[in-house]
Amino acid sequence: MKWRVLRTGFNPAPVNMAIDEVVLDSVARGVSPPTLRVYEWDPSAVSIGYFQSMREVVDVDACLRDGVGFVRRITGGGAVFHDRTGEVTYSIIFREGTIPLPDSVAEAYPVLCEGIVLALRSLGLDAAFRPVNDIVVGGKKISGNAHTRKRGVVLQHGTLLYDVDPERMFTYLRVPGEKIRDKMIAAVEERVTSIRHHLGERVSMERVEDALVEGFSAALGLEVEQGALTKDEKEMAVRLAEEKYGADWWNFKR
Amino acid sequence: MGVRDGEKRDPQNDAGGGLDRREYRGILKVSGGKLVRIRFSLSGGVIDDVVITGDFFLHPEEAIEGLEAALVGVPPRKDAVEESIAAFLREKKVEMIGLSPGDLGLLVEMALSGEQKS
Repeated sequence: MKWRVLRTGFNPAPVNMAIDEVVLDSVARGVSPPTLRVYEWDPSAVSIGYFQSMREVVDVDACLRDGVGFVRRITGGGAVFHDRTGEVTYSIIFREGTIPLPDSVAEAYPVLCEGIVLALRSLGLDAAFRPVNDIVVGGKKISGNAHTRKRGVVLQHGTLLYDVDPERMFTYLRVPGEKIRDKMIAAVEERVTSIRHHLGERVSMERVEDALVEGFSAALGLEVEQGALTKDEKEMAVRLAEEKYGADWWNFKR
Repeated sequence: MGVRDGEKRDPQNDAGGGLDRREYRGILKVSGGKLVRIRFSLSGGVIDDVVITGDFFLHPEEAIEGLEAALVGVPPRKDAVEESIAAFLREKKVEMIGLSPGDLGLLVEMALSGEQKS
């Protein structure tokens, strides 16, 4: 079966998360093929893990003041600052059994993350998987990933840092005890890296998208073709963005 | 709040969930980087309301409510908490990534002792 490639471009946080869930739903119902999606965020936004508390990890007032979005994901893991100009996101969504995958989620991460490792290597970076769910270049984190399985469907989405501004990141991400904010900024500078840091201006975000599609195809042996959201998926995503991912009952549920 | 320094709390008086119910809060950075927080109250010497938040993973995600419920009625001791969580994960076939049952036990005891010191 051919995989559908979606390049949905720049969208607000609630729409981005709604599209992932809508595709999961249509793949579960068998009306859409397995899907590989690459996308960006406009405005910049923070996404938080399913088990996090919005107020504990996000400075919501700063987000509202600056027009930065915030959204809870259906996946676990940590808070991510999706900088409009500094980050490319992907999601890979398929029915269990479409490709061989370990039952254990912890063991499935390295299998799917190989797509990102190959993407980065094709750009000339010496990338490696680091358990549980990260990818590193030169020992520094460049990608974080989160995986879930619902209704017989696997969904993994993740972030690939294109450019990183720790100062700006921690304007919106809260850390336990404001006193250690400076320490956290320093820690990010020490432990996190980005594509721009290594390659400068030579590689565009579009080229990174291409590399991700090629990386996943090579790592998982996928035959892919460019596609689009169906009319139904688009309509459902608009509704879900409004009723769930843009709503307080969901975003502030923990 | 309602309890004087050095005075033992009387479980009989606490059982009704009166105004003096205090919330215990703990935060733990697990080795490997995950950050887990807990808040809970006690009733009759055992855990009552409890909320666990953090950047860990649970599969399936909906198991979080059941995991929290598994702590209700458990004494706030490391071994008891660890045992309850481990039993829940085993029985419900839930995969928890980024923290262990023992980490949650430790977190409960940290929250409790932090409160006692203040």
